[in-house]
Amino acid sequence: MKSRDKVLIVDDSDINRSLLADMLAQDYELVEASNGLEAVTVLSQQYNEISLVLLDIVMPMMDGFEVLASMNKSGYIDHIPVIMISAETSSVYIDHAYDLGAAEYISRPFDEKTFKRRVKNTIMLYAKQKYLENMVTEQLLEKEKNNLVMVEILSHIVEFRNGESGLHVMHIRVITETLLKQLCRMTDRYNLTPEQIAMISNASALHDIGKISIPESILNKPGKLTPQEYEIIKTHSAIGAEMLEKIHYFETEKLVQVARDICRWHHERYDGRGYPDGLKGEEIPISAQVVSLADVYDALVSVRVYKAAYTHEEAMQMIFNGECGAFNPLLLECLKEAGPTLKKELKVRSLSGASRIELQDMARNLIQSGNASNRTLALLEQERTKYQFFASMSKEIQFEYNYHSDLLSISEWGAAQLGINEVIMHPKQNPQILNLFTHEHFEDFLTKIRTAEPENPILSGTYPLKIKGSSRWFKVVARPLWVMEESSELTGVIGKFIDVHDEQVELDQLKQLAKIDSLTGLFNRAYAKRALDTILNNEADASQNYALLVFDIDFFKSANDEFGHLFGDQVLANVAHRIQANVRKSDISARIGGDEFLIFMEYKDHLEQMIERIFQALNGSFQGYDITVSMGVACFPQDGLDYMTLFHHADQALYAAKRRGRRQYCCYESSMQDLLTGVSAEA
Amino acid sequence: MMTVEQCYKQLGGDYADIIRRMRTDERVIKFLGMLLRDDSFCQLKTALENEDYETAFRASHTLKGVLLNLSLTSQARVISELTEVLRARQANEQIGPLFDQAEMAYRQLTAVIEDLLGKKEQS
Repeated sequence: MKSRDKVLIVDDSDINRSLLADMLAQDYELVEASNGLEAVTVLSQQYNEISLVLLDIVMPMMDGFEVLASMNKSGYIDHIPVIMISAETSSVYIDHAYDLGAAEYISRPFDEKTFKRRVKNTIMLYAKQKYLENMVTEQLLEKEKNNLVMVEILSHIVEFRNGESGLHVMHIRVITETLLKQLCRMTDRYNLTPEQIAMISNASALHDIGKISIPESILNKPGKLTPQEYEIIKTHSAIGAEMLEKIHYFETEKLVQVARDICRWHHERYDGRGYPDGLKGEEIPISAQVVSLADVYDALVSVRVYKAAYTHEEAMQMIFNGECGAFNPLLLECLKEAGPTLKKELKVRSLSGASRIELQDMARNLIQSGNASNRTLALLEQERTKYQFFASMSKEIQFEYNYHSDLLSISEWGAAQLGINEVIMHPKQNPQILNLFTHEHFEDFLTKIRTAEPENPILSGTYPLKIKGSSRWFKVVARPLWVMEESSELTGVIGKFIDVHDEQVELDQLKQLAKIDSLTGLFNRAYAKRALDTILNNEADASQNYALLVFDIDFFKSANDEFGHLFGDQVLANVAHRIQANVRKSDISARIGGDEFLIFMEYKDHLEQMIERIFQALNGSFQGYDITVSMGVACFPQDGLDYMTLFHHADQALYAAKRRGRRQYCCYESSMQDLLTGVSAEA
Repeated sequence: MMTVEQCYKQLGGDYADIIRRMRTDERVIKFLGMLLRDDSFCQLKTALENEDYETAFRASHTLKGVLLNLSLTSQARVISELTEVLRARQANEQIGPLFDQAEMAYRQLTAVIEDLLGKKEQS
């Protein structure tokens, strides 16, 4: 395949760009950018395809030197040659350009022949260098390692979507490896070489890739699956196998073939009652048998959306009781022998092993440090395409942020949902992003990212986002990416936003319900206490004045006795109505017991007048029944500083009001201290 | 009808150089046509009116590059002088006279090119 090299032309002048384009169009594929910012964006998207950059210096938005600096940061400068083209002839400029890694410097006006020759030479020089590098690295990097990277990235994609803890793939590999080694010690029936064991263990990570095609609603459903849903889940094994068969490398790569067997048959049963093919006994390849057992064991000892984790002992018992499928007796023997090792290994390896995403970083680092061969790059590019393809279909708002380039990219669908661009430079200063969050929430989110640690990398939060003018609740799940083994150096963040608006609104409603007294619609006692505690302990200072009014309906019992409880309830509702009509929104009013109510309000002055007004409004007639109340009042700060004291004193004042013949209110005075109270003061 | 060579002669440009680099009159004409649509000079003028010296320098610099590319040496020299003064990106008493000179040169340039292209409308 002979493809034309791609050249990126960066110049703010149309004329200059077309002049260059004219000279090169015949021999090269061309991309144009009219300023530095565009150039950096193009580079970040197509860095693997661009063979040369022609770069002007003086440009708006971001000048040529800044582009060079950015290419140094991202490491592109080592792989993509840059020819500076400028009308500048001062040596300061030229030196600076060379210092920043430019390969050539051409001054205007230039001769077409010379220019074309220099473009060609530069590209050839770099291609040759790359070829030599590849020869060396192909020898250094054994194939196994390349494959490993690929496997990890692929399985990472699946698991990211499955919403599993992140350790499943790691566990499967460890368990598979342990079981296979044990199997070797017990029999030579399967002729397992160390290479085969390594290959099966690596391939095991891919066992569930078919799940990428299962709708997320089924995949992550917390409850029991319906028979139809279960049938859909069951298709994942055959689909995974097909995916691998279609890969270009299927013919030549043993690893892909092994992975394909595992994918297709890891849900077969030794008794022939599994799926998709109903293979029986040793018809099932040993690789799939082992992974099947490993999968079951790890599912049992891990937390899943539909279950808690079992202990090692419980899991063993369930497997041996045949509760989780039928297995090769010899393998069960292996599991028994390897049990103690497994228990220990899983603990140790989960912590120290490289996580999937770290491996993805390794892949990224390989590219940056120039150790990656063309083949690896091509594979990675393929994975990237695949990932982007799935991301674009997944109807999810996925994002990826890169620290070096300070570039945020959002999946196509996600960007459309949020009403923002797919690629955003300097997101922390970008008005689109800043509009999306409130300042406070954005800071909270950034803090979570900054404080996340490799041991516990996944962070989440729920924020209202402003989208196209209205606010919706979103849950964000994200994780930072670190350079392998050097946790201090962050390279990026990946994650997704999930629309949880409906759930959140429902939750809010439930929370609201839990605060409310259902009969009257006022707050209930428990909530009133919490709310008062919050105000008194946190917000109120001595310069503010609050009054606590506690009252009950005089002779309410007689209303119940004479007219029935239904009427009694109507009286209570009527009183609640009177309360609501006479307090402000900021006041707290609650029904705290049978016919007892509480109002808590801030006041400036004219306390007597306010209480008088409310007291009068509460008294009245309801369907011929005269409602009168007795009320006690205690004030913050003079009568008490906390809920307990205030309530107790208001209660004593209420008792005094009753003693004075009811149908009146009393404000607390210290002389009331010894009065026994009518209303219970325990709160 | 004026030829490209006559046009360059009238403008004090280097026809030999441009034809060596671009080879045909058609290509030169194409780029001269683009030059008429180029708004660098407009940007330069507006920027100076607004005392925005950063943009003025950039526009002037771009224009200089374009003129050099087209071997319009005499105009390039005038713009080049202005560019150097603007490089400090601050007000300077030389800017006014140099800009007037540049404006005159640029007007003559566009007039002659329009003549060459047979365009009568004013830009």
